[in-house]
Amino acid sequence: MPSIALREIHKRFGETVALSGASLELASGEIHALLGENGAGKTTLVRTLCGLHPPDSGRIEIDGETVGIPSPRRAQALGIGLVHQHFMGVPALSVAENLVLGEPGGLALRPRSLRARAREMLERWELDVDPDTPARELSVGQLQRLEIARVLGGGVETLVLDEPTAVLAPSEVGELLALLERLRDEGRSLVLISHKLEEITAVCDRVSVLRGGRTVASREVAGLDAARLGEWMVGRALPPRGRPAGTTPGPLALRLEGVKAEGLRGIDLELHGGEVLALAGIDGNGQLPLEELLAGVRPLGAGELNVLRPPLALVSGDRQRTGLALDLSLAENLILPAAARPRQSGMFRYGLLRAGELRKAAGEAIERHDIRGGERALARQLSGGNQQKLCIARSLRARPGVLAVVNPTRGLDVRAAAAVRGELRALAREGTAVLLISTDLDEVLELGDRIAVLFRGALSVVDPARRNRERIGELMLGGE
Amino acid sequence: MLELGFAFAALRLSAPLGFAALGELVAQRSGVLNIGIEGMMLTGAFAAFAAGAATGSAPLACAAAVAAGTAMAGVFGAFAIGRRADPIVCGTGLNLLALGGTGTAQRLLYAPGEPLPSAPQIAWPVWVALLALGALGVGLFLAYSRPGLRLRAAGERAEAAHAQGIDVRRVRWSATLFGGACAGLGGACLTLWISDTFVENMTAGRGFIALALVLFGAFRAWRILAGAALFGAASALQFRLQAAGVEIPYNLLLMTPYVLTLAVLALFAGRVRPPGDLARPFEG
Repeated sequence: MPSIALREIHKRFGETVALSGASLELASGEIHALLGENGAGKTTLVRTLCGLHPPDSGRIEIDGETVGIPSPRRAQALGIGLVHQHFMGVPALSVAENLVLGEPGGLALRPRSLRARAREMLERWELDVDPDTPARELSVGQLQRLEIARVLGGGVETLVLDEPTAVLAPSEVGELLALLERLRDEGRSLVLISHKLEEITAVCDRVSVLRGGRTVASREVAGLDAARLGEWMVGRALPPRGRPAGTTPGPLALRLEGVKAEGLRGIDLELHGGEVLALAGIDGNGQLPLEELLAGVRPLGAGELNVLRPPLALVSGDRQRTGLALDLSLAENLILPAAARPRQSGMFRYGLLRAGELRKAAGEAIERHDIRGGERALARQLSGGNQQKLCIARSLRARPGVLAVVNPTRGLDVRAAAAVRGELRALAREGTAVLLISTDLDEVLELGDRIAVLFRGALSVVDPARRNRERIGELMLGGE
Repeated sequence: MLELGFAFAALRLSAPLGFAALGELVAQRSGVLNIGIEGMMLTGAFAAFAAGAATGSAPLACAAAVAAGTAMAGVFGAFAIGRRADPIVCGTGLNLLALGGTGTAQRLLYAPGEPLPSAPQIAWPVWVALLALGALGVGLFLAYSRPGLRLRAAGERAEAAHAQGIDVRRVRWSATLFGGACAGLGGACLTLWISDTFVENMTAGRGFIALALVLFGAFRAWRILAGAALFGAASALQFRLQAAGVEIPYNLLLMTPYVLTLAVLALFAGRVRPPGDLARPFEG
């Protein structure tokens, strides 16, 4: 008899379908792993359970009774608590203050009783810190432990943890997993969102796999292996295309040798003109460090990074934050790099912007990249697809020999995504070396002439003979 | 020079600042940067004067000042909290409104050329007691009460406070209104104690010094009071020097309390960590 069941949950956000028939059956006293690619709907599903995203349709049952969970408060009352990946308390307040912040109660907070209560909670949940320490002085692992203590303090029987180990150091992971086992042995049920196979096999009793907003498998963990889970996670499909037969890549354009930096454990890769090298991987395995390294904002720790066919242009993975100045116009965004080198760009005369040149550049870009929006339109007024096209158009103005793009179609609708992918393919055909860093496996398979997988800051190259979803899914989970 | 008269003058000159800064402290700890306190003080000073002159009752005058400061804070809150407008713009607007408004009202109410009526006075022990109790109360409230903890959480990380069921907007509204009331009381100090009449722009930037004191006082009640005392002592000193006929141009002397306070502020401000979500409108 499952203690909690989510059945046929559907949820959409605007145009985006997040969940289409997801389910989860949680027995009391078990640790239940929830596995899936980025965007598969894991977080949305657990947020449904915690009252943060009430579902559009579907049922939530507790001990066989259908219940509604419209708010976090209601979830709390039902004994369901969520531990966010990041600390959701107040860093400037003390540990003790954070523990009592959410509770109702009288006017006075006597320091002595506050401290005593906090000490008791901390001891119970194995967090060895002074209750008077400001939370901001705690390590990430301690903050997480504090968050767990706070959530459990409210009498929680069902605890949901959203990728709790992603932020932890390896030594802290073991301690956390031990705590989770203890919580289970005390009779609580836990849902653990995880991408890590060894965690799932080490502590979880059952696993449910989500793909494209649906639950595709729900099994006992015993006897499962990485290949099997990877296959469930990414699905089975026709063997995807690789480099068309008979074509050879152009000259070497970018070479990374033993590159180490914060978040990168050693990357070797060679990229030639005219090819797309696609780096797959689950978010948080080195994508951002690599992007920042290529952008020049993260220092190179060791190794060599050579751009043999400069310049290298980068299309940021976060177009709204680092990609565009949202309150400047389309045309102004387009020539932003020129503003950094006013002399060479030909955009300025006597220090003044040449309006004719600006208009010409904007007109060309709009025409060539099919950007839907006037040159004077503010970047924030453009749709996601047109913002992305604008970013690509801008990076191409420098005539790059190497173009690195990060998640170029994230958040775009199907048509806009197809247009952007078509553009990247066309660029490669024209001889540009394209490095695609993407967490979207379909995109990697569609565009990549060669594929490698990022896992914990290192790269494993996919053997062309084993270029299939199962193999890549296995590598994404750290399989050999 | 440190005799009783000097200490008394210093106390008298620091009290208006003390009230205004304590109120501003509470507002800022909740995340509201109210730079309109200069205007709220001025409005309070005028309201105290007008009500006092009309009724002859000092308590009524005091109540009028508190009401006027609170009302101004209500206007500020309607824009800065309700409409999530920029607090700097709202505050500056209020300061200008108060300056023009009190000047105009004074000319309308009291015929030019004729001597102004005088406001009733409140004896100094009352002020000192009020200020001491206020500082003690604010300090205890912030450090050792549950609403105070919630208020600090709202100012440090509104999103987290909200996630834990705290009504951030309500907390910030209350803190803003309290800050306005305190600024009004600080203004009343000017017309019911330091002088018995109203002069255009008589706050003379004290509201801004109070703002600076909150930062210089590292967001702690007792340090803010110490800062106010420093300003008061410097003011008293420069009056003393003027009276003694020292060979320094009087406008340089007038400047000293401000310069001194700002200099001390600049020395200490680097180490101060303001509330994390100060002056960030809450969207939730």
